[in-house]
Amino acid sequence: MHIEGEKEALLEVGQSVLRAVSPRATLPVLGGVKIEAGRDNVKFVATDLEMFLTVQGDFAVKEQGAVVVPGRLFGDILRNLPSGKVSIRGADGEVRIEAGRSEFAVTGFPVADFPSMPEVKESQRCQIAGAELARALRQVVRAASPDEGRPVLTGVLWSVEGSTLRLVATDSYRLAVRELVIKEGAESGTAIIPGRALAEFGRHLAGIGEDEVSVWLGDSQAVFSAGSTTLVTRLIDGEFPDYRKLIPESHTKHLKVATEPFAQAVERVGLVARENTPVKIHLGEEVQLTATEAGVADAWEALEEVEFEGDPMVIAFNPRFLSDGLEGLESQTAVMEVTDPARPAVLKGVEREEFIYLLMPVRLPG
Amino acid sequence: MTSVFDRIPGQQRVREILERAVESPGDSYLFVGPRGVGKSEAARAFAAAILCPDSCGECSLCSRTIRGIHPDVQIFQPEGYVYPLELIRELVVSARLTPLEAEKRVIVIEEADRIVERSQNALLKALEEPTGAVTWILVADALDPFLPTVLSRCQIVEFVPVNEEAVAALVASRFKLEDEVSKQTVRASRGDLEKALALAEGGDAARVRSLAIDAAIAMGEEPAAALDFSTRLQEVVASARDSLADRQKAELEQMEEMIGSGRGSAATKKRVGDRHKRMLRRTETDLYLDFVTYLGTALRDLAFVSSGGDPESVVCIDHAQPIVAAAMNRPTQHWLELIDECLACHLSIIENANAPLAVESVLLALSKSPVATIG
Repeated sequence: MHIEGEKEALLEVGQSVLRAVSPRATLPVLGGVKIEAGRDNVKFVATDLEMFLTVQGDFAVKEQGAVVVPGRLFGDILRNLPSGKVSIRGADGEVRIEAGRSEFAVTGFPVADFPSMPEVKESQRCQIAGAELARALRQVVRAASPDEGRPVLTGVLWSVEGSTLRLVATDSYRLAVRELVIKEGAESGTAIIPGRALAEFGRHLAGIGEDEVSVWLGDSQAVFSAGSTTLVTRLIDGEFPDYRKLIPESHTKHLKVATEPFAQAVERVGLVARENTPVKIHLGEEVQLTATEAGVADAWEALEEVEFEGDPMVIAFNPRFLSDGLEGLESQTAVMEVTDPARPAVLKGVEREEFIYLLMPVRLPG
Repeated sequence: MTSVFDRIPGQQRVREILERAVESPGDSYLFVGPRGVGKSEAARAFAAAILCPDSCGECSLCSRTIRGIHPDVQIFQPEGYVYPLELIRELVVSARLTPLEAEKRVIVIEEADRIVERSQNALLKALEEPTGAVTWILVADALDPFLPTVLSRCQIVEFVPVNEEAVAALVASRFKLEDEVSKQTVRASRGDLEKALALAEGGDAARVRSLAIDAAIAMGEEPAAALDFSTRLQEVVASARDSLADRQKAELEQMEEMIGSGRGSAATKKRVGDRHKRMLRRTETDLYLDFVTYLGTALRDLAFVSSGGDPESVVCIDHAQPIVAAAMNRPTQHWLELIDECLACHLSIIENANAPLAVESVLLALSKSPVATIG
């Protein structure tokens, strides 16, 4: 194998694919990056054993073939090479990287030892607008559970019905649901996709802008492809909770508030609230946020630009979860619907139905 | 055509069971049998056969499975004396993931008898709710450490000690030994393939063995002699520990090069460091246990000969002469009592007693026994 390219371009591809390499790789070859030079394209592949990430680069192929180089070392070398033309060539055993007057001979891993990408049937393909998917992922993925106690909750439910795609995540304290319109090739089906893989793909999407995204759902894997990036991930096997049952059908109190000032107030008052201390919202003619950390500090702030309908009530939330929800709204005005201090609140943007965020209140003593 | 099951020597019945199971493998298996009879090798071969359509043993898929680098075949070994509960919990969670490359996944837990009861309960969650995509293979020396609830979830596959011909063939395929040496090694291994290979290689395993046999033969000498054996054993163990520590250092250096100093690298280094420490402790303990086992075997030979057994049939065939000479120094009953001492010592080391002290005290106890007078 022999390829040539500009240092900056190689570094960009190399770094983006390296993000998939697990820092916990226990077997050396799995911490490697495979460079595959085909007839007219070069693919860089890395895996963390939960997903494969492939980035294609437009580099000159002098000789077709493949090598697997140690990931971190490869990244470090690329970063430090002088600008200009870089040549990478070699086979199993030794890979030579040359740029200007510097030259590296790196011991490569046997190509046959690197995992191979599965083939996923094309029939279940659908297309989605990249920018919208990137936004949706930002809104939803954060509600997935980082805790591995319940495996399905670490994933995001990917559910296709007709031409609607619904993304759902919950860590059992909050629930985020986002609807998108599929541009092409819809076929009903669901899968639970690991949150980490989606977060990674979301970051790539945000980096490359408006590209179209193609998604294939297989029995065991899902494939996401946008521009030069392809991500193949394992799925989570299990039953996702029936989230529809959790969303309240009605409410008795309705708060309408300017999103940005509300979010900032939550941040400020939240400074006082440490772990497990909630921020209280006093709903009434005047709407106030308060937090008390006994023996440390108190904070209170009255909200501006609010409209409240219903009987006065005090309801308390984990400030971080509340901020997460507000950040995801993408609407100038937020709507919060509540019924009582022990039942979930619904957050959404005014006149925007595509995203809703359900938040369990923190029970107040007494 | 080659078969991946050719990698299981001397376990014809196991081979037949597994070959039949490959088409539609069950959710969980428990491979049980004495140490070193090829259970782990069989687990890897079975995993490869489940994943590879031809069960060929030769393609990249089979080769990676057998070497433990296939993303859909995870092989776990305890790094310390038992499996940490967190590892079992992580495993149960990760079992919910679908395969990445193949159509099925296999999770192999070697030395699964080192999963303590609490962790077995955590594991049970995965065994009780199989996903169909994952096949579990637990590998263990014995059934009694397992909860009945775990046993009832597993298909139990029993392994037998490997017959001498199969051991001899394996040793011959790896080492060029003279016929006599090969026969002695095969006999000393008592159907334990790993032990046969370690002994054939010479080195620390062989040194521990000859030290144990010499100690058994020298029984009845002064306490100072017992202490001398104990010191020499500790030296062998220390040298084995040092050479392992050197290998670990090299591995860590290679690892550092690979993981660099970025995100998560400190945690990875700590994990590797912890694993290395636990492995060092394991290696030491295992050598002491081997010593006690060989000591017991030599004492068994002594009892056997003193009760009129055929000297040709002793296990320590390479030490037959001194054994015959020493056997008559004591009545059979006495040798048998000494074997009991060894068994007690073996058990106390497994139960986490200080191994060098336990071995020293058994050596002293043996040396204290009075020399029998004939007649």
